[in-house]
Amino acid sequence: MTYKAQEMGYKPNLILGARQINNGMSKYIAERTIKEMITHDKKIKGANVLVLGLTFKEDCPDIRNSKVFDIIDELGDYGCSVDAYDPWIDKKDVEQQNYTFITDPFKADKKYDAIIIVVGHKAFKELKRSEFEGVSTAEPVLIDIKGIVESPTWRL
Amino acid sequence: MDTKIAVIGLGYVGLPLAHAFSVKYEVVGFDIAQWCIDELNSGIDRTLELSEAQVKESLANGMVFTADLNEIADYNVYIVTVPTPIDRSNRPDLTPLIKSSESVGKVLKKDDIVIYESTVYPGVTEEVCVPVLEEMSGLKFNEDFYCGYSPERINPGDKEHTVTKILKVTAGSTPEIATMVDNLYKSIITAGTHLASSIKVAEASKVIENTQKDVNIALINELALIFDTMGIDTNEVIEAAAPNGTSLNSLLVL
Repeated sequence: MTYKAQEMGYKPNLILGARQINNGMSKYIAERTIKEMITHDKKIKGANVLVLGLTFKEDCPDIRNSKVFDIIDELGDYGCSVDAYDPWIDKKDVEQQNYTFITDPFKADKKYDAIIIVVGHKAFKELKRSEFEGVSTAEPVLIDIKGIVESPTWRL
Repeated sequence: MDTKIAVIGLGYVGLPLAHAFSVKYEVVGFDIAQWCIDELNSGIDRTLELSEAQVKESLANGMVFTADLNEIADYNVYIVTVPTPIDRSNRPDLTPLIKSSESVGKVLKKDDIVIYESTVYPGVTEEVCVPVLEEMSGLKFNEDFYCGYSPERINPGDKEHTVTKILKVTAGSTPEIATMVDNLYKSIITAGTHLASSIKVAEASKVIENTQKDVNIALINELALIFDTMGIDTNEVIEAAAPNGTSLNSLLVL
């Protein structure tokens, strides 16, 4: 509608402002993650980052309008190597996209320099801090957007 | 004449709606994706809105899933539930709506009704979709065929507030059609309906809902950014501001 409104000669400042703030959150989160990684002596270029959650909200498989991909893009621009995991997503639904989707990282051996919890899926809420530490390199950087884990490195 | 419903687009919106209608009406579900049809015929709904039992119930009710346009030619109410994605410059991509209108236009007959559920800015139904229907069918709007609009309000993943339990706004291109559209939805929506005075009003009512959500989220996001620079924990602020449990979910929805 903002598009139509402007076509009609009205600039919807409040609505566009809201949209701009919401769209800017992905960049903010990525930058905040990078800062925490630097503070914790992590090398940024080539760092392994795990993004947990791809859907636009918790406990559903809907990735339409999800801004998580913007976070991954932003981290990619910094030279990070990002793995994404979401238990609600069928790999088939996202494989045409240019991202690395992995199966349950908590059952694998790979260690991450930073972990970002983006979606508050029930499955993630049930994880203990020790389980996040288990897939992390020394000095975990745990970024918690949804306020679901105890004493994260940073939460919004 | 018996109401025979064809639902166009079997995603988050169309499939639950088709299932609900199938209890009382003869319904066909159409989607351009053959894999989607194949999955549904074996009981699988990839959006997880319907359980396998519900998909099979639809089939038992006589519902047919098809990707073949010929199979929807014999119906008289077409309900279009295709998505309207927004690109990075906030411009709505109306391609799915236009393509599906072309398809419906090919099978449109005299006295048929085409109801749109897709979220659009006010005017799209009558100014974008209707001309496509007229061109493809050679029929005249509000003389030969009619339109309705009833915005979808599905909350993906919400198993409690499902399609029949959310109040539905309805509208039609003439007063008689408006009543018909309203009665059609009223027959399955237990939460009731609200008959809007025009299609544009109904279109705008959905835009308000989405915009209000955007602005609410933005407010919390902006406050979170400010608090973060002040070293204040936003979660704690919200707990203090809304001790009665105003949803934390509104905090940053990505």
